[in-house]
Amino acid sequence: MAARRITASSLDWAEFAKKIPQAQKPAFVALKNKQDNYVRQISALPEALPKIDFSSYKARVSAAMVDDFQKKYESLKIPYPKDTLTSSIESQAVEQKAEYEKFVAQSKTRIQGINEELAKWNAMMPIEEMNMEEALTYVPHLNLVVNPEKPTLWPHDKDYDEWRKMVENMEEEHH
Amino acid sequence: MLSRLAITAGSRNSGSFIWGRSSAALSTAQPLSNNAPVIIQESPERDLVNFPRRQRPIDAPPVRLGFLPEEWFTAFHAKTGATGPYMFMASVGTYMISKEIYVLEHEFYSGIAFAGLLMYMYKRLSPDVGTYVDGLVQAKEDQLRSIRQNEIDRCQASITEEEKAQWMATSYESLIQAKKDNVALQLEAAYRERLAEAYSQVKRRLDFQMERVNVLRRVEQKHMTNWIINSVKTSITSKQEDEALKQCVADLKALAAK
Repeated sequence: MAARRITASSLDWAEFAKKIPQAQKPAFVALKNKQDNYVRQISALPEALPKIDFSSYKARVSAAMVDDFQKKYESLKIPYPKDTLTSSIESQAVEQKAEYEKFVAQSKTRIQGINEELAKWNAMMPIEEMNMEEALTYVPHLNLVVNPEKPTLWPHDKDYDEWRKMVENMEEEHH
Repeated sequence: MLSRLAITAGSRNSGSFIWGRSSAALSTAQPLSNNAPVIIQESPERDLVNFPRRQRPIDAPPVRLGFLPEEWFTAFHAKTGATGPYMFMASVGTYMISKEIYVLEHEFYSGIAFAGLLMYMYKRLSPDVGTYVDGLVQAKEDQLRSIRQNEIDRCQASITEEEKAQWMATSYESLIQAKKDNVALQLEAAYRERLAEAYSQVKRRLDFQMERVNVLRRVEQKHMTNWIINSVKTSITSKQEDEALKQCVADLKALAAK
C-alpha cells in the first residue's frame, strides 16, 4: 500500500473536542496526548536519509572502501513499515457508522415524539382560561381538579384504595 | 343577584353543551408521555361565532352612583334618553314614599349613616385590599400559566438536547480519522527511526575506520620517534659526551664573565 505519509494530524482537534461529552474527556485527552507524542517523535527524527560527508573520510581512510560505503549507502532503500491496522480501523468505521445511523434514527423518532407533545401543548387552551371540567379533561395528570370518578381524600395524593390500605395499617399499628 | 344567577346558569349550560358532545369525540390518540395533555377535538357543529366561550371577567362591570349596574341605565336609554332612569328612580321613589309603601322610620336614617360609614370604609380600604387580592389572583394565574410554558420549554430544551446529541455523535468520524492518523504517524515514526538507525550504523563504521587509521598513524609516529631517539642515544659515545660537558662548562664561564 502506498502509505500516506503525514507528519502532523490532519484533524481539527478543537472542533473534535467540542463534540466530546464530559464523561469521555479523559479518554479523549489520552488519545490527543498519544498523537502529540507521535508528532513530537517524528519532528525529532530526520525526514530522509541524512547525508554523510564522504569526502572528509576519503582523505583519511582508503578511498576504495569509502567509495564502496558511499555507493552502498546511497543505493540503500529503507523499507517503509507495513500498515496492518488501517483495514481493521476501516471495519470499525463501518460498525460505528451503523451505530451512529441507528442512534440518529432513534433520536429523530424521539424528536418527532417530543414535537407531537409540543404541538399538543401549543394547541391546548391556556390552563388559566379553563373551567374545572376542562382542566380535568385536558390535563388530568396535573391533579388540578379532583376526579369525581376516582374519589380521593385530602390531600388527594393517593387514590382511595391506597388511602384505605394506609388507614388499615395505621389501625393495626395502634392495636 | 340576577346577573350571578345568569352566570352560573350560563356556565353550567355551556359546560354541558361542550362536554356533552365532545366527550363522545374524545381523541383516541394516547398521550406520548404521562405529561402530554389530552387534546379534545370539538365537534364541528359547535358555533363559536354566536356562542363564544365564556371569558372570566377580570374587572367588575361598570356601575353608576357607586352600586347600580350600568346596564340598568342603558336599558332605559332607547325609550327615555339619558335622564330617564334617574326620572324613573325619582318618580318611583316619591311615589313609594308619599304612599308610605316605603316608610321612613328610624331604620332608614340609621341606614343612611351606615351607608355613609360603608362608603368611607370602601374608599379608605378598597385600594389596598384590591391590590392584595389582585396579587393573589395574579400569582395563581401565573402559576397556572407557567405549567404550560414550562412544558413547552421542556419540550424545546429536549429537542435541542437531542439535536446536540446527534451532532456530537458525528465525532465518530473524527475518532476514526484520529485512529488512522495515529497509525500513519506511528508508521512514519518507525520509518524515520529506521533511517536514523541506518545512518548511525554507517556513520559508526566509517568513524571506526577513521579512528583505526588515526590510531595506526599515532602508533607509527610514536614508534618512529622512539626508534629515532633510541638510535641517536645509542650512537652517542662517552668521548662525545665529555666534549659536550666541557663545552657546556666553557659556555657557562663565558656567561659568568659577562
